[in-house]
Amino acid sequence: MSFIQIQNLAFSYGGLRVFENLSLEIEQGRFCGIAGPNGAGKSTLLELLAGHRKPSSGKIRIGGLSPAGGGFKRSISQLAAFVPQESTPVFGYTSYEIVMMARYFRNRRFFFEQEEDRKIVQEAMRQTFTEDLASRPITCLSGGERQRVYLARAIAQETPLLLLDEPLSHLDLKHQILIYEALKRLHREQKTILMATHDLNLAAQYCDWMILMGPGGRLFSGPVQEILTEENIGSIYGIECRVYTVEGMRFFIPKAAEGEGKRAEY
Amino acid sequence: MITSRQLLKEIGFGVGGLAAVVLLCALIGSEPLSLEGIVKGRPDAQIFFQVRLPRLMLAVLVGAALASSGAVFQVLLRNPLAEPYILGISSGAGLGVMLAVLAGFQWSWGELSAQSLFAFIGALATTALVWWIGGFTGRTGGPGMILAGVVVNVFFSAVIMLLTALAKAGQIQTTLFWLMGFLSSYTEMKIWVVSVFLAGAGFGILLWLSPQLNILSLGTAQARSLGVVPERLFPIAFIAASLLTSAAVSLSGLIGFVGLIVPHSVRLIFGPDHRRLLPMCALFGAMFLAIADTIARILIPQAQLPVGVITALAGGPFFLLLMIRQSKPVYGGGL
Repeated sequence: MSFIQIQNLAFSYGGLRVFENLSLEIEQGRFCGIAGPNGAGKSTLLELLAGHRKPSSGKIRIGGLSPAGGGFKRSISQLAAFVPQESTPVFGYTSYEIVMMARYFRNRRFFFEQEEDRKIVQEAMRQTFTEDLASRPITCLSGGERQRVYLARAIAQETPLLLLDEPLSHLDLKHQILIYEALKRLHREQKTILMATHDLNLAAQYCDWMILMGPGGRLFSGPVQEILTEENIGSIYGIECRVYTVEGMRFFIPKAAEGEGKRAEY
Repeated sequence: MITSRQLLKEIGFGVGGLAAVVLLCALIGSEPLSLEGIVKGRPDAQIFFQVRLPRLMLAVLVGAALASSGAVFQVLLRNPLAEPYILGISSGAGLGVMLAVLAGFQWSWGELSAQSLFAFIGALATTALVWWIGGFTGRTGGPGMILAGVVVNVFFSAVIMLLTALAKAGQIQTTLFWLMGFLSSYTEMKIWVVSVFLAGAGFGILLWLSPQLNILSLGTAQARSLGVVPERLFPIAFIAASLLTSAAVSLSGLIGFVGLIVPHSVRLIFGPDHRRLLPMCALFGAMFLAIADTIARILIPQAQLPVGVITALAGGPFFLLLMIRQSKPVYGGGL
């Protein structure tokens, strides 16, 4: 049985049908990229998996449990960590305090941090290069620094599943690569990672599984080599795409489709 | 980072400071007292134990309740401008007192006066009303509850003004006084027991929930992924904070600003971690109101100046100063 099972999932948002009849299976230990145009439902899918939203109909199972179900409510924090696309903090907790919040419900009798929690938090901050930010208030960080702190928190949560909603969108080139390397290490430790991203080039380098979501519930899911093709990308985004191989790595060059370019000239 | 030993040490210092403040405040006044006189007995001891200390203990209880519930409302509504009265508690309690006075209720049940009982009921009923309206606009993670509270507050305030215009002159003197907030030396024992119990229970629950409140401040979505169940936490914390505020309101009338200034000042000094923030808010709120009431008592000895006037006059500028100088690193874009 697959680790993540989605059957006939439907979800509407304010009268707008984001998707219907979506079925999907993902094995444990996959590093899975999710790409597609804006509004295709990448974030919504991650939020449904995290239990932030309830499906209109259909079933979601993670490790045999349902995120929207009753008794699952608290244990979702033991199963899936979530990194939001953006988050505006109201109060100025330090980065260290933010990461430590991952540990509150790992230990059921938590009120004060234990020595073990401190070690785990320090290690997670080391992996995301946020040690220097530890004592800085989260409200004073740049978007990219904040994303790395949230990623550290997800790592410190020690869950088998990581749900990352464009966690690298604000990062500089160097940190994008460094964070991808950190995620690769987690991948080797048999963690399952689902990550929404717009960067197909990096996804092709690091992910071993790919989901391409298009408008109207169109979906390609499979090994990254089979899914990221000129035809699939072209049809999902409505553009033309060329794939080139350089030093064994594949690169995707987008071009405006026939007609689209003309529209832009007006 | 926070450890139990460190927190206990800070609370110990806070309690010591509070005791010193209370003692000092009790000694000054229109009739200065000396420690020697109190120990020797007679007039000094009588004023100390029967007049000044009860009133100061009331200030301590009300200040602690307002400051800690303010901190909780700010995190529950994720709005730094929230305060204990924002959810209609003030106007609801005021309306309750107004109705009790206009209806001519002079009775008391046991030693519980009609006024404080109606204040308590009015406060809780209005909070329940705002909670109910909030159900349509969204309770957590948005401005729905605050808007509901503001609307109910304005409407009930208008009703209070209408009743004031209709009432006879002498009839509403007590109510006006009550609306400005005052602390009396003559609170009955039974009310004390009930209030201390209510406030203690509310505070205990909130302190127990304080790690979860930290997480909730990140918003409901992230809170859920970190193990908090917002649908469960929000109503429990909300009821506990409302009880705390209602207990304070029925004892003292409306004392403004304490629930806003103290949590923010404490947050600027000790950070936003609720495990530390709540006890520190209680201690500093108690000190703040004890000092404010002493100033109200000695400023114009003949007149009874409502303490609410002092808290607003002193607190407003002080808070602005703190905010201008230090708010940037502590508050995000929300303000």
